[in-house]
Amino acid sequence: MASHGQSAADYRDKARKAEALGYSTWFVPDHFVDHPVAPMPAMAMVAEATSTLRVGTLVLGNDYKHPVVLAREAATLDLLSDGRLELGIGAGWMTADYEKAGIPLDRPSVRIERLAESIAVLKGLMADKPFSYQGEHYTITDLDGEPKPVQQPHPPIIVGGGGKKVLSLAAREADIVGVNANLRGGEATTQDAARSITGAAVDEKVGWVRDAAGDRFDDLEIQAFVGFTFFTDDRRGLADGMAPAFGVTADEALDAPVVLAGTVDEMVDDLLSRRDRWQMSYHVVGVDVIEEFAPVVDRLAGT
Amino acid sequence: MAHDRKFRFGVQTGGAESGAEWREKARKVEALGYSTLYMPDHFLDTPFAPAVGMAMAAEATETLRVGTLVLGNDYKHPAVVAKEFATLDLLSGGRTEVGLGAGWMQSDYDALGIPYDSAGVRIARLEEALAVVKGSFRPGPFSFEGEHYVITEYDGIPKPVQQPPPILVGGGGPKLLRLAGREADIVGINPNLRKGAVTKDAVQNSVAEATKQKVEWVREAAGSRFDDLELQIRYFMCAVTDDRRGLAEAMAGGFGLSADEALESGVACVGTVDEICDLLQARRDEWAVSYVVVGDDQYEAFAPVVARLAGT
Repeated sequence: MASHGQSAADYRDKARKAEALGYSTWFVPDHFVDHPVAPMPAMAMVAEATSTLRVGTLVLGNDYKHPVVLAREAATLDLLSDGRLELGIGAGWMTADYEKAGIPLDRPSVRIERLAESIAVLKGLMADKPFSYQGEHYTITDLDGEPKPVQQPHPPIIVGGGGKKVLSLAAREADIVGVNANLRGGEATTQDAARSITGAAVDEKVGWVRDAAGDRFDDLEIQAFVGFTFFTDDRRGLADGMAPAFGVTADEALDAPVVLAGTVDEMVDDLLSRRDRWQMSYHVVGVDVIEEFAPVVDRLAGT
Repeated sequence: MAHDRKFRFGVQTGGAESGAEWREKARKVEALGYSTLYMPDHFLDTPFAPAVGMAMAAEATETLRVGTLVLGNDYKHPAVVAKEFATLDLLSGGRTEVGLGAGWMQSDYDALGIPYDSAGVRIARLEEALAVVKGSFRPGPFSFEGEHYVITEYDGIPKPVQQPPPILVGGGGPKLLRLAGREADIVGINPNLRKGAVTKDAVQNSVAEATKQKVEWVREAAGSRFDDLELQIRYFMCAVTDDRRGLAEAMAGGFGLSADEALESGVACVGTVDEICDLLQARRDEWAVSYVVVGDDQYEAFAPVVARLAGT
């Protein structure tokens, strides 16, 4: 679940509620605009306010922080939370972040190359000996990262993306792979993005992950961010009404892993079939629906 | 509004062995009457990253303030720094102090593999970063066009609870202290670390006369706002002892100072509880320094001084 909060008390209450309802992880996004908290202090506060809830980023924009800084912060958080961190990192995509903060928005291949280097640096600094790395973007000389995380060899790394390059990188390097829409337009809710997350498109994406992962595919956890949840007795009617605005058919909309619409039973069935079809077993919903969605969590978590 | 110059105290600590120890330390610092837990920002020999350590310490306590002493500006983009501090301020109910410095420790730059620019460039970048952080904290969008940072119509979220959180700038040279005098709320009077590491030079340029000169640089640059500033010293040589002279004689030679120079140094605070209280009061009169920070190796021994002077 991605997180928002108006006040400190509200934020803590929501995190404790998520824990009580059986959710595994409290995820914080990383943007300068629209999202009201910065992930590192927010995750630390949530971890301190709860006892078993995992905390994670969905996902950090790699270009906003140097990986040596990030490795140190992530390891500190993993240590102080007794091993509850999931470290989600992406290449960065939201144009507004780059424009507002004046950070150059390089072309996707450069951002993805930098992400690959960053992941190597993160893993290297969390390993148990001094680390050196000579990349195009980062140079590390004989640095022994501290502290060391509790989770060894490193907290699970989540890499999410929608394109072949980044999903292939995720398949090779991540522990959890987020299969997302393509955000090449720099915005999340375009028709282009919607067309890229239909069932057929996801078949292809998971195929890329499988190809690049090779033997390790079976070890990967595949994740989706279900950004659109509709609790309704008439999922067909709802899909008929909404799909055209996104340039997809009703069937395509209902098939998309970013959508869950229907009754609890229908949602449960959809999630079971998505696991069969794509090995997709990790689902993230928005914080505004954690209570309505809780019966689904109750039915499926840990099964 | 003019600052009341009442004493308050802080502890600078880089971390602990475990989460349990860290929480316990934060609660003890709070219980002993210290105002603030400060975290340094280095990549070697400092266990925890401040962005996370401060949040955990704030969550584990009720009234303790948390801050950085100080963040190296070159390690993180100021829009990120502002967002992290604003989040921390919001979630801690307004208990942050935003300490920023130009960056000085060569080994940090080596660790990150980033260039160690001249002091002039680093200070110019810090000056711009201060504008970005302050702009992010203010209500509404702002733009800034500097040599190093360009911000376009950015409305920083969240907004901090404190309007705004106090900005702490520390330094030891004239350029930095003048910048602090103009822009900060709390000014740290530090050794000049122009060598990129803690050396004899840093100790020698902190003798009493030099410290007085540093305060003068702040005063000149601050002009009429000097009375509003809070001045701070982090005492690197701090010891509660019955034999201040003996300790000074043992230590001073290694730094190329006489025992008297060492005892009067602007980074030394040595003696019995009575002697230290007298010393701190004399320095408040002479240098206007009322905010006293000690290391985590000394904060328990130093607690009787805090009990005597905090809030007076």
